[in-house]
Amino acid sequence: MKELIIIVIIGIVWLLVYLNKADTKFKHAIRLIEKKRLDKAQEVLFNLTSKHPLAVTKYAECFFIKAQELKNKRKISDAIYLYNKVLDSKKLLTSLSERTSFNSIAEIAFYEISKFQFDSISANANSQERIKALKNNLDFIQNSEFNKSNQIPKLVEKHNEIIRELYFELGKKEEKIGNLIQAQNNYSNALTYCANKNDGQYFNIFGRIELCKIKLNESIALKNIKQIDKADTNIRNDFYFRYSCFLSKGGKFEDAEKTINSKLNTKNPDVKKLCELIRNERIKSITNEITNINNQIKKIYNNTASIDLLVSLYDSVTVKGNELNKFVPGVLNDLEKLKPSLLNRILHYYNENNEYGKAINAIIKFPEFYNSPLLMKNLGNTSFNFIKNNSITVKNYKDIISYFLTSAYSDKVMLSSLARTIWDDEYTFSLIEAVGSNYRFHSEIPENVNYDEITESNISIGEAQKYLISEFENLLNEKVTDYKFHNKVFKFYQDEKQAIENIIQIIPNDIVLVTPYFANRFNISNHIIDELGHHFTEYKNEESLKAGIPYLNGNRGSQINDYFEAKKAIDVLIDSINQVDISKFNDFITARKKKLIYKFDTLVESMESRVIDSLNAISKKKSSNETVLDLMKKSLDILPNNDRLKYLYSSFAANLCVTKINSDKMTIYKGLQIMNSAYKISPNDSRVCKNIITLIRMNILAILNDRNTNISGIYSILDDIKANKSITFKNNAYELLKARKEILNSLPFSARKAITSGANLNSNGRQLKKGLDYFTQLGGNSSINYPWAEL
Amino acid sequence: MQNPYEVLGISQNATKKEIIKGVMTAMKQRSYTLQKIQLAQKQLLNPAKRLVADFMFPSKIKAKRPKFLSINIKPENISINDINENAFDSLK
Repeated sequence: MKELIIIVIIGIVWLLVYLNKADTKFKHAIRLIEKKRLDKAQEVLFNLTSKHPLAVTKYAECFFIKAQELKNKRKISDAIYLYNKVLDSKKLLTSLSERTSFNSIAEIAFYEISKFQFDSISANANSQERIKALKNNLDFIQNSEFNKSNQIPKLVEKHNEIIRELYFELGKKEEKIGNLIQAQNNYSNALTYCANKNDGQYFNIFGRIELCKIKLNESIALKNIKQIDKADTNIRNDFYFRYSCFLSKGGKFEDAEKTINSKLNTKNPDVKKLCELIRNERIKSITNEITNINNQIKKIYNNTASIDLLVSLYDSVTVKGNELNKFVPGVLNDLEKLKPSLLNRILHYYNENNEYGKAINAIIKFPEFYNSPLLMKNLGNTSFNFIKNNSITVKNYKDIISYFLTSAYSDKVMLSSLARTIWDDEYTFSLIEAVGSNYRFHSEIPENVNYDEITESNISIGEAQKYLISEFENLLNEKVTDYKFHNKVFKFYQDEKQAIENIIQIIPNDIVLVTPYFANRFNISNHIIDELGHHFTEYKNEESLKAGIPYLNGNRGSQINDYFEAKKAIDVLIDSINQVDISKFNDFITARKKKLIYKFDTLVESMESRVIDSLNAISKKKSSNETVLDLMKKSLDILPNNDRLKYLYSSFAANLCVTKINSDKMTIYKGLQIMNSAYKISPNDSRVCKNIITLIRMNILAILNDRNTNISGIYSILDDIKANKSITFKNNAYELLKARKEILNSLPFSARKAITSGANLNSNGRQLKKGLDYFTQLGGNSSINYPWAEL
Repeated sequence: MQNPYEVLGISQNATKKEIIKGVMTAMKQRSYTLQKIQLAQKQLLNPAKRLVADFMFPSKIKAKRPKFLSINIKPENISINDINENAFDSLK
């Protein structure tokens, strides 16, 4: 019995120890939870908070289970109380507690609280109050540490959607009663709650803001208009209709029409009515414009029109005409007819007041003024007077010089001047010496003009032109005093003069002949380029292409452009020779460029002489430069049949090899390579043949004496020569037979016999025999018969 | 180059006689130096140089008398106020 008691006591003690263990208590609590004895479980768990990592989580979970039960029973406020208890359990967490599992329970509880609060914001409440409550709940969510549940973003989105719609509706309410500023504010607030900027509702809200702006008569930014296209149809139509009305009110009828035609249904009666209004408004404006122009014409009749009025009308007739012509057909033509009269008046005023710069501007604004000899005459004399009365500057010298030269170099201009002259004498005028005249090709010639000899009564128009041009040059000299600027001006003057003289000599047809600057300034170079191209096709005179180069202005594909490219290629070729720059040569002289050069005979001729001259000069200056040899070789690729170039190459190669080998700056193998290349080009050049024969001998001897490592290279060259022996080579090849003889003579008889028979030779013997055989093969067939040649 | 017609105060169509007369008048008036007057006379009595002097005169181009413009259409009496801007009202 005593033993039994002891056993029982031990058992009780063990049980007490066991029951007091934290893990045991926790497991007990879990079992209590499973049996729904939540209060008891919480009692146990509460004491375990600092002893078991999951105690607080399970403690909170008990609140959560209770809250869920209440939620299911629709006891919302009690449930919220318990969800909050879940969150409050956080304060029981100790350093031992496992936080992740606690947070997962707390986050669900937090979501439930947030969702209850969201649901409790009544749909029937006032919009402003709902917005306020929703915003508060959003703040509540955003400020909590338990807002990480994956259901929260969706809940937040719901808040945003409702707030956005509430603001949108508030905006519409305000807009309806005309509180447009307030409406805009509400719409702007609504926009801030649009998470998706590509959402249709976003563009609708945006559209309403723009509609408010129109209603407030505010202008609309173009970039905003593009956004409206993505709004709903009713908003789009409303916007574009109001916008068209807005533009019409502002007198922007053309823009209004464009908007209507591109954005609205023009068959709609209201749109139709707006179109009629716009058309009517435009007619009103046109009527006013025409009345205004007629008043100006009246002033011109009365000679009361100011220069400003004349110029403004002159400058604007084309633009106005184009605008008015849409409604009043034919008015553009009538307005254009005003131009000559206006220009006459304007020029008269400016010439009277020495305002030649303005006169020039007025002339060059006249349509195709360069086709009118009288206007070109006016341009010439105005340019002359401009320099006389003003300073010539970097900005204006090109214009003035090109205008004057184009004018002075036209026989038509001189004749137009003649036609206006009434002298009492019975003079006639001869074009025989006229500068730049192509009048002889014209069908019509004035009665008092001829091509007869110059006499006292048959006056030279050419003399007049020369005098005019010399006066202009004198004036330029007098006015341009700065030395550097003077050079610039006269360089330009001479280039322009030369260019127009060149084309006048070539082009026979009656086209406007102008200086290059003038042609490019007024974009009329194409017809000159075409004429010169036709002339080349017909007469193959490359001078016509040369004359066209200054007139090239991006005219790709023309004959002149090809000629220009070819000429440029030759210039680069010569430069690369002069600069001994082989890479420049290789980079620029492509097969295409070569083909281009060979299209033009005179260019090929000039290239040949220039290449030879340059290579000649450079070969003297840099006689030991191997790059010069490469340049010569490359030049031979372009000019393969030029004997002078071949001779130059061979001589340079021979000199280079002799000098360098003698001074040990080149191997005999390299020398053989170079001379072989020269031999191929000039196989009958005696110096080349003698040198290559000597080098053959030296190279074979070097092989026989084991002094050369390029054995296969040497034999390959020798095989090449062997197959292509020239007469001059053969005439000089005895040296090789002589060498063979000397070698054989230096050998004992038995060795000599073995070599000649070729039997029982070791490797050295075979090598010797091979070398000696090459001597025979290369020196054989020598036209001079030497007794030892038979050996 | 001084305009010789201007120096001698004569028209572009002056006859030889008028040129000589112009020289006398210019010399009396002394508006220009004797050298300039002589140069002008020389220029106008040399037909080639006179041609250049004529070149320096601006010429009028062929121009028709400006015509008044006419318009056959008349505007109607329609005002922007006649347009119902609310025709497409999207708030309805």
